[in-house]
Amino acid sequence: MGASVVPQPSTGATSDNYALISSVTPTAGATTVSFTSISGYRKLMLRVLKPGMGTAGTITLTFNTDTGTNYAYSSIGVTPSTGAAAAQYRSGDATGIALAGLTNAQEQNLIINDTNTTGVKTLSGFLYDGAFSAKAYPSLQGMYFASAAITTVTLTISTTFAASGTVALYGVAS
Amino acid sequence: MILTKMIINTQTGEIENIPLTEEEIAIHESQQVTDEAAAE
Repeated sequence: MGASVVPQPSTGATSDNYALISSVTPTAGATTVSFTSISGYRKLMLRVLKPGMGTAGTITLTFNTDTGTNYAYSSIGVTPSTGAAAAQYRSGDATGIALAGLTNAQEQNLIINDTNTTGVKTLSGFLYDGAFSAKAYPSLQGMYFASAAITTVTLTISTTFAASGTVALYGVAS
Repeated sequence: MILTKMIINTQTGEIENIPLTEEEIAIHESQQVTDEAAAE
């Protein structure tokens, strides 16, 4: 019997060292916040922290100003106090990724993978408000079916942003 | 209130607030109506 061969860790792996690309407070009256000219990152992380909204609205995420039906997502929230499923949202052939349930008291965190490739991009994230209450906090999974690398990340609100909160974009260098 | 698009150029750090065109305002307002109908 020959000697066993123990698989060795890949030496090609690189760490995910997220660096801040840009961080802004939305301008009052803005209907979109877009990060443009993104280049040189294989992963992105988007944080939307307590976004001020003129009135309650829904924020939708799109890439490369693409509003075609090239997105799919699913998010399910669980009520912490009971464990019961709540706040379910899902859509195939969507025109964007809805950050469903996000209010001006909460934060949405998302990691977007393979942003510099020509294949499908996947994303995952969660919604959180710092309080373990009876609210449901959806865990979000999504896909973006487009071949171009991501160069623009846009948040569109159905109402208007107020001048508060933070939208921050981080990246892992290619 | 003037409705705008906020654009952050990640290469230069430049931030622009561009007023919406009339067409963009119409699209935005129609989206609001859609949201309100969905909420009812």
